[in-house]
This record gives sequence, C-alpha cells and structure tokens, in this order.
Amino acid sequence: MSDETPPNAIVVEHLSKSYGSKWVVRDLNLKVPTGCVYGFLGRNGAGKSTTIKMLTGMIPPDAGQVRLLGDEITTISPKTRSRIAYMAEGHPLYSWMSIGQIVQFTQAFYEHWDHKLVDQVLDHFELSKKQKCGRLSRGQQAQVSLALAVAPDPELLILDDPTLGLDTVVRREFLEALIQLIQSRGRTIFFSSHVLGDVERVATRIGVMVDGVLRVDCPTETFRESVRKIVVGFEGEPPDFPGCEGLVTWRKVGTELELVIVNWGPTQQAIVESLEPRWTDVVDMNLEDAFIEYTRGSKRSLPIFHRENHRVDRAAV
Amino acid sequence: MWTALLSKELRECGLFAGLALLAQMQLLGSGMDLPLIPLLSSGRGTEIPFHAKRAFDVMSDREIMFITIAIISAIVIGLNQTLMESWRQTSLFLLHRPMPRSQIFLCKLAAGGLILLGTSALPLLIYCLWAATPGTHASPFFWSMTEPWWHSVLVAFACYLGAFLTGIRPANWIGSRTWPLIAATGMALGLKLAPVWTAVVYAGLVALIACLVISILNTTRHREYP
Repeated sequence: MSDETPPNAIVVEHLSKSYGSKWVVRDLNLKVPTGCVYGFLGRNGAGKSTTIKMLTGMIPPDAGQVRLLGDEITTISPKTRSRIAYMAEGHPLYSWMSIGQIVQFTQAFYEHWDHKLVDQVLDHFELSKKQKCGRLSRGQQAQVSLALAVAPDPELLILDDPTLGLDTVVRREFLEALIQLIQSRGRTIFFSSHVLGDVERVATRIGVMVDGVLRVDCPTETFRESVRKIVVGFEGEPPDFPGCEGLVTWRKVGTELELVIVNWGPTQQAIVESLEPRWTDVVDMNLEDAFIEYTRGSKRSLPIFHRENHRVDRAAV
Repeated sequence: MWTALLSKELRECGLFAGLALLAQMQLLGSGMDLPLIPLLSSGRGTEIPFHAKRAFDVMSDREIMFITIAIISAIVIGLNQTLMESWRQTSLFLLHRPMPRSQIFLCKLAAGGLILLGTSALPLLIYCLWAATPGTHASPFFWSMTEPWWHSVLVAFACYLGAFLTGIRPANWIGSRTWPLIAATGMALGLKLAPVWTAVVYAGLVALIACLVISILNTTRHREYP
C-alpha cells in the first residue's frame, strides 16, 4: 500500500490583487486536493470571481502564484489547459451558433472528445442540436455549458457561480448531473456559489472569503459544527460581552445577548456564566445560518430594531 | 482548431464584410461601366482609371472613395472582432480553450486580414485587370500606376489593427482608448500622402503594421478579461 497522498489539483500561494488602494484579494493561500469538491463562498464583492479569474489566468495577479494540475497558470501549456474545464459566470456562448455548431466548434480544440457523453447530456436535458444558443433560457445555457465542459473528460472543473439565476428545479438537476458526471470519476471540482443549500449538499470542503481574505478553509462539516450561536438571557439590560477566544460577533437584542462563537467550549462557557445570566441557549446552525452569522457585517441591524451590534476580529476556523 | 476559429471569425464579420464588398463592387464596377446598381452610377464617362503621379491633388474621386470605404470597413471589422467578444463575455469562453492566447489573437488578425483582402484587394485586382485589358479605356496603363491604390489596402490594414488594438485596450473611451486607432489612421494616411519615395511608404507602413501587431499581442498577454 502506498503512503503517497494525491497531489493537489489547485495550489494558490500568496495571491493578491488590488484595484487602486482597495485590496480585492489579499494574500490568499489555498490547496485543493485531487478529488475534492470545493465550495467557494463569500458575499457579493468578497473577491470570489476575481479569485476564480486569477485561477484561470483571465486576470493577472499583482502578487503570488497559482498552479493548476502542477502547471503555473501564467505559463500553462495547452495540454494542461485541455485537462481543465472552466464555466464562467452567466455561461457565455456564441448566440448565433446552434448547439450543434458550438459543440463542433469547441470540439476542434481538444484531442479527446467524448461525443457519446455530449449527446447523452444534451439528451438528458432534452436539448436539440438545432436550437440556437441565443434562444436558450439561462438554465439551458448552463446545461449546454456543462455538456461542453465535461466532453473532454477534464480532471479539474472550475465553475464560477454555475447556478446563478437558475430556478430551483433546474439548479437541482444541474448539480445532480454535474456530480454524476464528474465526481463519480474522481475529478476535482472548485465552484463558487451564493446558494448555501447547494454547497451543503455537494461540497466536501469549503472556503469562505470575507473582504478579500480567506477566513475559512476546512471540511464543510467542520465549519457547520464549529460555528455556534449562543443566546444568553438576562433579567434587565444585558451587560457588554467582555470577549473570548473564537468570538465572531455579539449583539444585544432586548434582554438577550447573542454571541456567535467558533469552537464553543468550556473556556467560553465559563466567561458567559461569569455574567450571571438567567439562562443560556446554544443554537445549532445549518451551513446557511453559520455562513450568514460568520460573514454579515454590522450594517444589518437597523436602528428601528433597537439592536446593538459588535464586531470582533475573527480567527480562521 | 485554426480552421474552426477562422470560420467563426469570418462568420461573425460576414455582414460587415458583405456590405464592404458590395460597396467596393459598386464603386469599381461603375469605373468599368458594370455597376451593381446602375441607378446609383453616373457612368465612367471619360475617366482615366489610373494616373502616373501619386500626389494627393491628382487622386481621383474614385480612389478617394475606394480608400474611404476600405478604411471604414477595416475599422468596423476591427472593432466588431474585439468589442463583441468582450460585450458578450465570450472571451472567457474562447480564451480558456487549449490554444496559446497569442495564437488565438493571431488567428483573429488573420481572419481580419483575409476579409480586407477579399473586400478591398480582390475588387481592386479585378479593376486593375480590366484596366490592363487593351481596348477598355482610352488611356495608357502601366501596372506601376496602380501602386498608390495598393498602398490604400495597406493603409486600411493599419487602420484595422489600430481599431483592433482600441477594442482590446483597457482604457476609458473618453480618454486614451481611441489613441491607437487615431494614431494608426493618421500615420498610415500621412505615409500614403507624403511626397516620399514609394519604398519609404512601404517600409513605413510595414513598420507601423509590425508595431501594431506586437502591441496587440502584448496587450492580450497582460490585460484583464473581467
């Protein structure tokens, strides 16, 4: 038996990009193991799309380097690129081409092309090769893009918000097909998404970008289990929270104190109990709740709700 | 893959190329008394197709029209090849294909060059062959007389490259973005009209074209494709 661990499909080292004085991505370090389905999360403007475009060589970084399947992206060979599929946000296709024409056009660039698989995917989504790309719905464009992406049997698939703008049913179908087609072959998928439910169902590992910085990089389950919301009740006005290790944010809601804490344990519990609350409730969260609590800023509380909000420097999980 | 990419480019420029070809055929066809649309032609009359001198003041109306059509169509095709790709965001689709980026853009330039040859050089060649045929017009003809017209094709190609560079250049439209187009057009026309030796005109145009191609390849390597 070999002890060798599989090489990383994606290696990112100290990747940075700024526009003027604003850092869009700052000192990003990331390793995505081969065979992993990596969900890349973040709010709008967090730097997800810029990162993905730097990964694919569409945007040159200011600093740092990216290696895909062992090749540095700035000098990547066509042969390595042919092993990587990229689906850009919005699924851009040539509107004047029919599906048959765009299949034929794309196929011309690849040595290996699975005609049978393309036909199967198009058939599965009930798409005719005679349909014009410009007349397809957004969901159908995503389906055609998927067929084109999987046909060369890529080892790595990079998807920039592939389900953006798709309705629930199409989204579910798309993801199921994607998983069936790619992951069953042990391929690596790196995808960004706003739909946390999709990520929870599909991703084995997640990364969370906050203001251009990768704050979280861990297995999905670990993230979900690490982030806890603690609701602490008092008789009157709650006191200010003194802070503790792993504290993400805290706020006062009426007579309650709400805390979001990473790795809730006896140390944090002791600090909470020192405030002599009437009661303490530890709330389990799904990925979406955990993500929202982890990433939302202090702007979300409007004065009308009489909430006080306090942000704390977060530590990566 | 070159064939697939060339076909795509030719198809995408088909409309403008067709219009340019029709315009040149009407113009040069009128010069041969064979206009596409006779109603729009006043006939050749006693016009001399080619002159011995190449100074601006002896350029015929037909030559001025020929270079105008060639330049306008070159600019439209150059902008169409670049701006449409970034507006539709299909550059993200195209540039991820396993083909070096420089080759993708060289292929686009080759397609643009072929279109210019087809829409300007080909009709001009037919016009020259007509003029070289004895008995078609009552004036002397030497192939050297056609040289200024061929310069026009090179001028149009330089304008095409200027438009292409403007299309891919990441700059503000109300700013420096149109500079390559303005500079290329100005320099190419300046070379054509300047009272210098023919060899200097050719050398200048070739140098300008080489600079533009290098600049295009350099820009495509370093620009962002958002």
